[in-house]
Amino acid sequence: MIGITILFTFLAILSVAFYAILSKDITQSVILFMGVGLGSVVLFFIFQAPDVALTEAVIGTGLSTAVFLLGIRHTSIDKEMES
Amino acid sequence: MLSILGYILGFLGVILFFISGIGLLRMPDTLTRMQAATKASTLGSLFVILGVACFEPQWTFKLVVLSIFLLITNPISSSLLAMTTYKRFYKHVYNTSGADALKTADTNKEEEL
Amino acid sequence: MNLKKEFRLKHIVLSLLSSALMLSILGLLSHVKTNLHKTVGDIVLSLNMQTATANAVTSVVTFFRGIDTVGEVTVLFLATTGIALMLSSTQRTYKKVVHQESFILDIGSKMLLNVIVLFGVYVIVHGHLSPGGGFQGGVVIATAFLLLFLANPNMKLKHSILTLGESLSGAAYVLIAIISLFKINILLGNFLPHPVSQIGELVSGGIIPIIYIIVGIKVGSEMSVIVEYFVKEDYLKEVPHA
Repeated sequence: MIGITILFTFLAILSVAFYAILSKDITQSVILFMGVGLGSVVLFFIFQAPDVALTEAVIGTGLSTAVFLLGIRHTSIDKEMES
Repeated sequence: MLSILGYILGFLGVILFFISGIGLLRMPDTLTRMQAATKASTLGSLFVILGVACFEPQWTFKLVVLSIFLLITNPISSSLLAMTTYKRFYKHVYNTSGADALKTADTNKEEEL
Repeated sequence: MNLKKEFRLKHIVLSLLSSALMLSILGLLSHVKTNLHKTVGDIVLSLNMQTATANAVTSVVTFFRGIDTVGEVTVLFLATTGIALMLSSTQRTYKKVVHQESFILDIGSKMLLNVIVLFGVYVIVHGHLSPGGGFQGGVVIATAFLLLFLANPNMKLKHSILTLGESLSGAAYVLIAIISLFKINILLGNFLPHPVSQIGELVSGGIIPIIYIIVGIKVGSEMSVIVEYFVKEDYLKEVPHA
């Protein structure tokens, strides 16, 4: 059972990572990158490292996503708002 | 006895999540999709939390804090998303109908300090 | 037609992915223990009785590898210093943004701040009993301030209080290390009484909770300052170069 769980989690992480690379929209890609972090939280918890899981949940899905989104907002020109 | 109640509540929550997922796929535009997702998922999470509280009664305080967090975050974020969507993509609605309550709050000017 | 087909494929793949994640979470809930082999973890666990903490990772982080933790704190301090040097200057002033006065957002973010800070303090204080600790709790507190900045861009942190807390906690950490070196000849050794019978209680484990509270204050203030600089960068007033 635990092997199947690990296998499914790896599959989910890999597919979400592929989506994050292949998607055209950069905001969507950042959100999918957050999904990679979420899957790795599950993996860390399965491999009995709850401390690392908590760190990943806070930093990988919370702060880094916020910093990425702030960077996108700062560097990109929003065309729809100007019109 | 309490565990049976917990199973029933968890099952209700899961059914609500399922309904919200169907709504997310089937609804035609952004506002209706958001309504389907947020309303059902708030109630569904509350049901699941109640079910967990039936299984483990000593976790009740932490679960109450968790449900407070959910009850604050979910409606606020959905209302803000709806407001942004309305302002950005549904301008023709209040241009044609003439009645707009959000227009008074639309003071998006930048002032020099 | 082609576009519609692609769209459906996307939906199918996404639903498969979400079901895979759900199944993995279900399997996670069902499993309780796995078979552990004889590893270095067992040695650390047998040594864990010396420090008497319920969370064995804590004793590794603050006692067996204590000097590494000092290094991590130093790295974080240097990162904050670099960001402050790059992004803050006395010549730069911020625009005052008239943000949309959303009553719901104002009240809601202020209510959420209490809940998130409560959770961060819980994670810090229970670091030696449950998963978590100073680093994680500090970042949780910093995310609370991130929420406040996103809700109200005109908010300002009191930098004097943050600087005071950050430097005092850093000094206290080094002071604890020196005191333990003089008292029991071990750098960052546990010089407070830590009986094994008290394991699992809130006040136990000697200096380990104190170190985690210090690290929590330090990390929380540093990350709050980093978040403030990153958010405020958007509202910079353009100043022509002299």
